[in-house]
This record gives sequence, structure tokens and C-alpha cells, in this order.
Amino acid sequence: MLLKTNSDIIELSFIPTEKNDTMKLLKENPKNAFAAQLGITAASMTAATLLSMLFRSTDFSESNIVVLYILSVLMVSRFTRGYGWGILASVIGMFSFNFFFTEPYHTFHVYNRSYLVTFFVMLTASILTSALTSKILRSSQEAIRREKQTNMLYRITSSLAKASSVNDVATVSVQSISNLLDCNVSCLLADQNGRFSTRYGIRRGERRVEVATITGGAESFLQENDIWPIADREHQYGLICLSRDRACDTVRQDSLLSAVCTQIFTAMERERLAEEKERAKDEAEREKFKSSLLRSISHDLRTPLAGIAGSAEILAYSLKDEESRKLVQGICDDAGWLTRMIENILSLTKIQEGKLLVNKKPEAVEEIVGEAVARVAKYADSRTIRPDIPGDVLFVPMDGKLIEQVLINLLDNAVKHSGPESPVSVQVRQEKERVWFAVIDRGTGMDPKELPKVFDLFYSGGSRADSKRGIGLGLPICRAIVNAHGGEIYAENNPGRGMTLRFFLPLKEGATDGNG
Amino acid sequence: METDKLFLIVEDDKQIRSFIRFSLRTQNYRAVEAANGKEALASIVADRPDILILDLGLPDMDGLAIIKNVRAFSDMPIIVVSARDQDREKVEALDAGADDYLSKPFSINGLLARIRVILRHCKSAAENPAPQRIYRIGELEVDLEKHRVTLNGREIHFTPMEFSILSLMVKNSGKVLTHSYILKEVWGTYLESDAQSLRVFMANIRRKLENDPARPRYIFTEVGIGYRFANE
Repeated sequence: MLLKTNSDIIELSFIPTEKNDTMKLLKENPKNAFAAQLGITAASMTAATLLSMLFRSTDFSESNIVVLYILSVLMVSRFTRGYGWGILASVIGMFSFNFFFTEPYHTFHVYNRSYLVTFFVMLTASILTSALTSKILRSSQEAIRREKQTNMLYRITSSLAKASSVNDVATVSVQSISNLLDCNVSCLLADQNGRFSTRYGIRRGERRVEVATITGGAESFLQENDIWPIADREHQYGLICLSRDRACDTVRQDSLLSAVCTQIFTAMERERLAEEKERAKDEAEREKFKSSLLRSISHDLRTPLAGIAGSAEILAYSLKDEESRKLVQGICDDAGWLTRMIENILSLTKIQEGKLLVNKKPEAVEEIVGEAVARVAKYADSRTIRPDIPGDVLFVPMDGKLIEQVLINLLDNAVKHSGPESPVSVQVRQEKERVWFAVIDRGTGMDPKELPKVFDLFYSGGSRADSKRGIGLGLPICRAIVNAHGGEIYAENNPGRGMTLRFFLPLKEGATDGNG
Repeated sequence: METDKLFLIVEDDKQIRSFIRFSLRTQNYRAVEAANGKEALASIVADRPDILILDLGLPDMDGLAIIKNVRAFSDMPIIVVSARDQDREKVEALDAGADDYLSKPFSINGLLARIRVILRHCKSAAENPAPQRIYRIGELEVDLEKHRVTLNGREIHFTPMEFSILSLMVKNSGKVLTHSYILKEVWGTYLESDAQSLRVFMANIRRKLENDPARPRYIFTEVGIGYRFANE
């Protein structure tokens, strides 16, 4: 391990850093690069030859000259790109040695045949040296590039980590990419509908990010730039657009940019989730506040209302004058209505807080329906409420009290929304594992668009004519109760007149709770 | 009419207490009042009331304890009053010996109807110490000795078990009977699992008596509590 690390260091110290002028020159202009590499090759070989002549004149052995040539080949490989120059230098070196330093001098002939071995060894050694050097050079360049990329990614990741909103993420992204690739960068952010609505742009070499709203289509802009989506299969947050005049080497940028885009995507996803969570928390908080407010108001209203209702009833009883009696009876009815509403609010808050305990026992449907019908019939005057239930006794696991409440609310709703003489019917049907209850009125029905909303909290029946009474609590309670039983509730218009509110209760599930 | 009966109203809420007092006064019933459990027990001993109207939610004592206390030495009629959502307490009170219940908020008519039923049962017990033989309610006639049930003059066949339930209910017509009370009276024991068979028996009886079981004329369901047989 230690050894390996050491060799890495040696290799790294051996290779040029980015500041190296030659490399920069090489990078930037291919024509200049060729000239420069040719120059380097010629210069080193010339230098080696001259130095060797000096060696010969001082009577150093020939082996030194061979080593010197090999060294110069190494230098050539070191400062040039690819294998070509090194091999060329090896060949030049061999021939120079042959030409200048073997007898007969200044010819390519040799007298001593053993030199052929020297030439061969020298050429092989040079070529191998040059190949190795180039390879080391190349891999170290790769390592530097990787390191730079890793560094960049790290910097982008850490600045993205500090970003505190989607907009922040976009700003940081364009800054980082522009910094990395030295070009104009834009980030187009998509809105909820998937349309690109905002553009974060940065110009090459600047720090300032321009934010602009995209009014027209973004197509022309997209055509002029290279595009990287910030998206996975489900979500698209936006696009990163790069001007085409940026530094070359696009293949390597591709992988780097996809890595960067993944980081940006992750950051945006994180921000989106955080915002969603925050919103949900706010929502829950508001909801909790609302229900506790409602509950405390209701509690405080209940007692005085009972007093008002009671006193009004006493008055209505004792007054002889018909007109006054009617007035007082009105107070009585209104107080009664308010009391019912408060009971509704209380049960609703109970349901919402999850305190509703559904105590399922098998109940005879006819008993529950009968009781609900009897209750509503008390104040539904001349109206006929027609129960239509199966002839056989049907036992359904349910909390009788709660389902009775559902039926009362539904009947109440039907009575309220249909004419005084029009009949209301309650149907019960078994369908495999479900028992369907339907309350059908012959009233005005309602706008099909409003139908799904009737079970929403505080929906007050927009288009229904006589909606003055009802802040829409009865039906949301029904839905909550039915859902707590594992059933569903629906509203639909009848083909002819009026509407049907129907719900089902499962027969199977929970059937064992009752007797246990 | 029944002015000789003395009522004790046990209720901590002043408004409801005066409402009950007024309701009683419309029928010229005499009444004494108590605002808590201690006063109530003292009054039961001192004033010797005939009928007790008892709120289950008293500040100082559990209403249930008062019922048990009273039942230890007297079978005076007790009507309990409680909030709508306290079904369990109502059933407990009824099983402990209360005769009937009212859910708040209640109307004068609701209260007076309960009282009338109780007074009628008191009266028939007082006037006629021998057990009544034939009960007539609406078009229904039940002959307890001959085990005969006729509806509109037509005889209807009842199994022995059905007949026991029916006779228990007609004897207590107008009064609410809890599931467990019926089970104890008819089966002799009470098991939660028997409630299911009671419902089946009840459904069968209903099919023999009612034209439309979902719009009963005779047998009313008090969901979560029990059954009430029609008063007239």
C-alpha cells in the first residue's frame, strides 16, 4: 500500500501540471503544437549529439553516449504528445549514433558487427522508454482530469448542499458550470405544469446571474444551445443550456456534465421534498388549530344553546297567543338546528383527530334503517320516506350508531334538497361482499361538476337552490364514518330527477371483531 | 291527574333543572330538586319521592352509584338523563336498574312521554296486583296464559322462544329494554355472543308483526342500547 502510494507520487511529480506553458500551448493550437513538438525533438536530439561529441573528445566510453541518447528520447517523450515523437527520436538517436560515433564516422556503415546489437538494444530501449513515458504521462493527465472533475463535483455538491431553495439551486448550478466550462450557461426551470417559466443565465467570465421570466416559447433558445435535462423518469425540473462556443473535448464534458446534472437534480428533488414537507406541516398545523378552535367554540356554545332551546320550548308551551307561540317555536327550531350542527362539528373534529372509534358488530340492516327513517320522519312532515330493503335479515358488521348517523344525515340532506311533497327512498342491496345503501331523492339534483365536492368540508352546495342551511358538515361526516368502516360513498344524479347518495360497507372484513 | 306522585329532579345544570321542573308543572306534577349526588341521597331519604329523574353526569358522584344505592332499598322508577354520546353509560345505568333514559337535549314531549309510560306501569301494578293476562297494543293482542298472539284478529304462530321475548316486551311496552336485560330474562344468562341470536329472533318476530320491517309499528330499535315496544 505504502509502496504504491509512493510510486503514485513519483509518477505525479513526473508529469506536467496545468500551469505548464507547453501543455497549454499544445492544447490550444494544433498547428503550433506540431511545430513545438518538432522543435523539441530536434533540439533534444541535437543537444544529445553535441554533448556526446563533448564526451568523445574527453574520452568517455561509448556506453555513456548511448545512455545520453536514451535520456534525450525520454525527454522528448516527456514533452511531446503521443508515441510518434518518441519513436522518431529513438530512430534519430540510433542513426545519429551510427553516423557520428561509430567507425567509419559520418557514414551509416559499421565495421564492428557488434554495433548492430548496440543499435538494436538502443532502439528497443528508446522506444520502450518513450512508450512508457507517454503512457505515464497520459495516465497522469487522466488522473489530473479526474481529480479536477472530482474537485469540481465536490465544490458543486457542497454549494448545492448549502442552497436553500430551488431558485438557489439553479443560481448555484449555473455559476458552477460556467466556472467549470468557461462559457455562457442558462438554467430553465419548469413550473408545476411542466412549462419552462424562468431562466437563470450567466455570461462567460461573470459572477452575476440574471433571472428572467420566459414569456414566449423557449424553442429558439433551446436550438442555439446544447441541452442537458435535469430530470429522472418521473420529474423534470428544468434544463441546463450551454452555449456551443465553450472549450472543446466534449466527450469528457459529457460524463462530467451528466454527473453535475445528477447532482443538481438531487438538490432540486431535495428542495422540492423539503418544501412539500414544510407545506404539509403547515397544513396539518392549520388543520389542528381549526379543529381545536371549532371544538372549543362548540363546547362553549352547547350549554347556552341547550338553555335557549329549553326556555323557548317552555315559552312555546305556555304562550296562548298563536302568533307569539309561532315566533317562539321558531327560536326553538333554530336552537335545535344549531345544536345538531354543533354535535356535527364535534363529531367531525373527533373523526379528524382520529379519536373516532369504530366498534364493529353485526347489526341487522332493517333495525338501523328503520331507526334512521323514524328519526327523520319526525320532522320531515308529510313526506314519505320509503325504505326498500331485502326481505331476508341482513347482518352487516358496522358501528350501528355511526351508520345510523350516516343514514340520518343522508336522509336529512335528501329531505332538505327536494320539494315538501316529493318522496325520498332508502335502498339496501347486497352485492357479493358489499352492502350498498342508497338514499334517493326526487329533488333538483345538482351540477355534475359539483358532485365530487359534496363530501368536502364546508362545501355549501353552490348551485343547489335552498342551501341557506348547511355549512356542509353532514356529508363530510358521512364520508369519514363510511371510510372508517372500509367503505366508500358516492354522489350521483339520477337519470330522471333528483340525486342519489350511495355508500357501501364491506361484509367480510372485520366481521369477526363483533362477537369476539 | 297523577298529582299525588312526587318527583325528585337530580341535575346540576340550572337551566335543564328548571326546564324539567317546568315540564312537570305543565302536568301538575309535584317536584323537589337536588343539584348533586349528596343532596339527592338526602332528599330520597327525607322527601321520599316516588319517581327519580337523574342526570348521569353529576359533579360529585357517579350517577350509576346513586342508582345502585337506590335499588338497594327501593324499586322506585328512575329515568336517567345523559348526553347523546354516552351510550355505554346509558346501558350501564339501565342494566343497573334505571327504567328509561333521555338523551340531552330532549323536548318536553319526550320527557312527558317517558313519564306517562312509567306512571302507567306504576298504576297498573298498583291497581292490579295479579299479573295481567291479556295485553292489547294497537291491533295486537297477546294472551300470556294461552300463548296466543293475534294481529287484526288473525292468529299468528310464535315459537316458544319468540313468544317469551314478545311477552317480555309487551309487559314492558313503551319502556326501553337493553339487549342484556332481554337476554337475562329470556335465556337466563347473558353472553355478548347471544346478542346476535337475539337480533335474529327479533328480526323473525318483526316479520310476523310488521308490514314493513324497516318502518316498524311495534318494535323500535334503539341503536346501541336495545329495543322499545310500542306504547299504544
